[in-house]
Amino acid sequence: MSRPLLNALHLNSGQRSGLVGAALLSAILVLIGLMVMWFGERYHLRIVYSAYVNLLVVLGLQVFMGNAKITNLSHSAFMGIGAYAAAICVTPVQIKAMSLPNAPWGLNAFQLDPVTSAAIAIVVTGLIALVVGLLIVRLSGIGATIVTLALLVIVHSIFLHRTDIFKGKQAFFGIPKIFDLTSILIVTVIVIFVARLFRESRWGIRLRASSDDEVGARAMGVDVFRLRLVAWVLGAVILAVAGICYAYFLGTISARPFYFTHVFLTLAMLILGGMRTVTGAVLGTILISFGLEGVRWIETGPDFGLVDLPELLGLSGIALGVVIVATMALRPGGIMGNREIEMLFSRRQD
Amino acid sequence: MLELEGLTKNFGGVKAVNAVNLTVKAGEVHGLIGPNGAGKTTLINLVSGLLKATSGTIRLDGQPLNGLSADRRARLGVGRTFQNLRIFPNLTVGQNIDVARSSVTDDDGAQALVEAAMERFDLTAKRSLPADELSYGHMRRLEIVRALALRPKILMLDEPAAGMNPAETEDLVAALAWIRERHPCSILVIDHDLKFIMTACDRITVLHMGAVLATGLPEDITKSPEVIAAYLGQAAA
Ligand SMILES: Nc1ncnc2c1ncn2[C@@H]1O[C@H](COP(=O)(O)OP(=O)(O)OP(=O)(O)O)[C@@H](O)[C@H]1O
Ligand SMILES: [Mg+2]
Repeated sequence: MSRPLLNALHLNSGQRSGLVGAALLSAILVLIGLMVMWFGERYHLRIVYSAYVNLLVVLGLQVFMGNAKITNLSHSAFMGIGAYAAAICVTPVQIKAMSLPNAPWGLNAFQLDPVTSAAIAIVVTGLIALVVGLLIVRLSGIGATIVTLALLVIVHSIFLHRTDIFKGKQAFFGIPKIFDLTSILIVTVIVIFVARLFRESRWGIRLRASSDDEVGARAMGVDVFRLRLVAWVLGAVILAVAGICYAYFLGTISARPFYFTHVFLTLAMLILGGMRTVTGAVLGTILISFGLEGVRWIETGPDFGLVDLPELLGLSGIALGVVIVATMALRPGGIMGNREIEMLFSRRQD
Repeated sequence: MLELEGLTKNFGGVKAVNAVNLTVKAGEVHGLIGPNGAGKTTLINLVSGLLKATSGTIRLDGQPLNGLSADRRARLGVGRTFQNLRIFPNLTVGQNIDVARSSVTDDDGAQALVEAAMERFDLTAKRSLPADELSYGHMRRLEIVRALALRPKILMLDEPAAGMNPAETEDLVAALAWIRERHPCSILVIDHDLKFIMTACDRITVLHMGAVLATGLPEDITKSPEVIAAYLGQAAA
């Protein structure tokens, strides 16, 4: 994008560099995707697809955690809500008659097209986030984090015990597999721009100010609760999108992937890369995704079987734990700290 | 114009601010002095809404502020700095100021005021620097410019001269005059540097153990026997 065009959009310098940064990250991610599509085997496609789903989750997490600086542990639950909501809407009636014979409220008596289903899933997830968000944004620090943890457990229990709707431990199957790597690349690029432009927006800057110094921000007119709520709901919407991408690719979902293991994995990705930046979210996801494949290769030998959202067996779990501990000890701000990608290319001006 | 009537704040048994009546007139620079623990910072915290008053009323240009949140008050025209700095360290200098500026209607007037203030307080060249890389003196200046970006009706400065050498303090006096000329507002300034307060202020209020000991012109304050006994005497000794 040329400078005159950017100037004509009346963007401030932060937003301009946000666009440049988002474009750079998008280029890298699209390039990785294209390489895999051209040179990869079928199982590579699946690994990379699930890495991109995780990237969407990490970006959704970054929008709230990175800007409001409140640790969220419920993100995988919101991903699950998005996935199940879309699955219930989009799965054909004939399949639901079989798999959800006792579903309440006529949930097994209708079916919608994938776009409408996705829209409904996003709205439902956003509304649930709005309601619980009203409580969470009023708490700070540990209080808020404990509530998100409780939320994760509650949502998981509902998935497990309302078997008439969610099938619990069993697979919810029959979701049309309409997404491929190209689809998720497009979604990822959009979400990268959304997350980065939010960070550089008036709201993003005011929210980051409040996370630096809440009292100072209030005294400067920042309505901290309202801004936290905006970021919380936006984050939940991105998480819903991640869940939808997951369901539309695999065709089958269950409660297990939306729980602790996944919370821990994606949290490790964000912490390693650095939660304060979108670049950190991307870098952490790439490093841990590649790293875990390496570890898994050591664990299981080169014979790849079913690829799902990664499981923390033995070595992988230890490796992730070590990554978190090492990052916290050596570089608490993560690899990127406060630096976004475009700052690595521009000379410091002081 | 800021009017305080019977303003009181109790911390448990401690009456940090005790039935204070105080008026800062429009366009006036008003000094607030008193020994350590007199309740000066508490008074500013009450006006800016960071603390809830036990009793009493706070009015800004006739509008009652009691019960409004701190951020509402800031948007209504209460600007302040902090004795212990509260800049946003992970934002740039420019972004620190934008946070305040975007709280109020952002028109050409606001733009011009902020640019001029950044120039006056030597921050223009440091605009894209992370705020935590500023020197202590520049952090203090940043706090003043940031509060000014709210285009406040009342600007409250909590010990702006702390840690400054005499030349810097002299410049601060000129800076207050500059603010007054560029953005007419009431200014309430706290400091322990009496020479600074005497030269910068139109009127002065002395606070002692939470209560107002005296209010008046600088020359009258220095002559008041009560004030000398309670405060100036100590300071001089
Ligand atoms: N949050 C608080 N909780 C309990 N007591 C407080 C609190 N804030 C202030 N105090 C007490 O109130 C009294 C007034 O304190 P304040 O900070 O307003 O004094 P000050 O005049 O600003 O003093 P200094 O010149 O040292 O800054 C002191 O006795 C202080 O210990
Ligand atoms: Mg004080």
